Amino acid sequence: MTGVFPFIVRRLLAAIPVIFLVTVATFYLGRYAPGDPITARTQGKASPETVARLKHQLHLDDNVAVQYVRYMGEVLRGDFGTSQRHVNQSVSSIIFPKMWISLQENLYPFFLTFLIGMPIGIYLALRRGHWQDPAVTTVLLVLTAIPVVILIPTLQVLFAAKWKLLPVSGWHGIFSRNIVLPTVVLTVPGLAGIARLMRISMVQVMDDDFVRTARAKGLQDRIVIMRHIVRNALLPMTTAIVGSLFFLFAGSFFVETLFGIPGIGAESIATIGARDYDEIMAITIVSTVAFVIANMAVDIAYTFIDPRIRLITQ
Amino acid sequence: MTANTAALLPTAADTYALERPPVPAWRAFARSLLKRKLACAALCYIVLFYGTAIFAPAIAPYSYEGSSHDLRKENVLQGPSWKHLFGTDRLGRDLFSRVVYATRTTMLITVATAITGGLFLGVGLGLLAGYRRGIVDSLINRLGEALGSIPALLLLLLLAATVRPRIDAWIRHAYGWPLIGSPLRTGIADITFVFFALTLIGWVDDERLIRSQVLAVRQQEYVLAARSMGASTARILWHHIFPNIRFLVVLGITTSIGAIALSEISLTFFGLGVRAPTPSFGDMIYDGSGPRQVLAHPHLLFVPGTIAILFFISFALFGDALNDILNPRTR
Repeated sequence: MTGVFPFIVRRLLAAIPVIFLVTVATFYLGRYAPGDPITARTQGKASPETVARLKHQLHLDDNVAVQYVRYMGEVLRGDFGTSQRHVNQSVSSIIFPKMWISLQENLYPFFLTFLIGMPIGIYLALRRGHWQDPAVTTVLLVLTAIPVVILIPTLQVLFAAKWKLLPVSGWHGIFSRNIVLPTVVLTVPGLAGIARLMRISMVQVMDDDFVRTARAKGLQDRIVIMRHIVRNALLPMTTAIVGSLFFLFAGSFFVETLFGIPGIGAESIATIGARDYDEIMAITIVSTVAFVIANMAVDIAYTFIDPRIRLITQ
Repeated sequence: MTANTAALLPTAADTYALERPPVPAWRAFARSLLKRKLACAALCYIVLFYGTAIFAPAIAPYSYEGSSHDLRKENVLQGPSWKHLFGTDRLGRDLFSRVVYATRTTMLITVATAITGGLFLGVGLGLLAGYRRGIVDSLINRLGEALGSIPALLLLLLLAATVRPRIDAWIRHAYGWPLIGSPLRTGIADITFVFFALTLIGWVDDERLIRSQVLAVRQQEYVLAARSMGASTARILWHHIFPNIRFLVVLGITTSIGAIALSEISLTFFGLGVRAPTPSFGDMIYDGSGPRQVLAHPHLLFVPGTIAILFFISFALFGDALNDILNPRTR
């Protein structure tokens, strides 16, 4: 597999200018905004001299480019800076625990989307042409089209306030009843997407020659053909799985805010409002790097998994 | 030639049969669309929605801004009634009028962003990147990748929180100016900002699609033949390439409208999009959400909520049907 390693290196090198561009843009955006962390925190109650002194301490009065270089140097050494909002806490100590929470929140939906979505996709492909196919597809489409902001309060009112089955919000870990509603809200859209993907790839495989051969051989339609078709239809699914893995720790803004889950999504919104530059940069950098790595991983995974591609690159 | 085989020769009738003109594209399209009843219903709703947006001032019985009369206790937070079809909100404003004007906000933002970001930027840059290749292609790709790597909502929030206050301050200076002062005061600045922000990130997906299709088409023999005959770039683009990307453009615009509307609602929900008093669905949904509010006054959430949900469902269904009809791979 001599062709794979240079491919990985090439992708890594191509990722660097992207990350550079993104960090520069975000940094400049943050600095270009009116207000700064000192002013936001002191709210005009501190004297101008104090404000100026604090700004100098944080190097906020330097040239923006100089600030950027200093910041990136610290990041590469692993230091994301100190938060302004939560005094004297390092940004890393804030965002990483929250990412851990977001990860837990995404765990159930991750498994459920694939465990439920794939069988639905297979079923739809097999029922192609019957009434179940367009019916279920339409239902899934409709469910996905409902915006989360409307869905969440509705579910909260029905299940929590009216029927008193589940708690409205709050976070008590993944083994409490609090996780049920967020899981439902997070699973349904992904499920529809996976079902669709599975169906499309199944349909593509079903038209292939080897399937016709298998049938002509007289193999039992249901069991063995399923094994042939499904196995090959799983290829695009694996890239979807790999891709989603990297987004497990990315929290959804709405779900976290409306359900009161202290994850990275809710934190992003709070920190942007509070103009906490260091935290904003840290979150942006981590998200972007994760996105770039996820894309790379998906490309590489596909190279490994599809034997046809592997053979071609050799 | 015997009498038997003579019957096999092509006759005049056959020749005319071959020359019968093909069914015009529009007719075939309309027929395929009408066969899908659900998509037709979706289209009807879309037309109704945008029609309301266009004729908003004629349809809305009240103004969308509140007045001191509205704030009187008996007017606030009423449920649906004959006087106020959808009820009133926290400030006593008629919800029906607000919804009608909110469709106008949505229309302005979606149409402007879809046409500029999707059509001009997305298609234009896609054509440029796909046809010109070389350094232009690389530059556009890098830019698209960079823009796409930042989570969209994060970028929007960042832009709204950082760039916007400066724009606001600048615009407030211009309120007194003779010509553009009064249109500015109607809240068009808000809408313009949201439009700029959404266009900035909206072109990436469309551009990528168009570019890959252009790459595929430009290698066809007829394109090479045209180039060798000395056809200008403009002619090739218009005559050969564009007809093959038309369906992608239509599909791209339709699917992106739903995403644009959702982004606008999300932005407004977090207070960073269109702001009061300009009505918006995000604004109304924010007012209505929260379990206690929903229990006490459900109409605040469900009326704008249902209308918005139907909007998204209609676009999803219509886009799906369009995809089935237009995409040559699924025909």
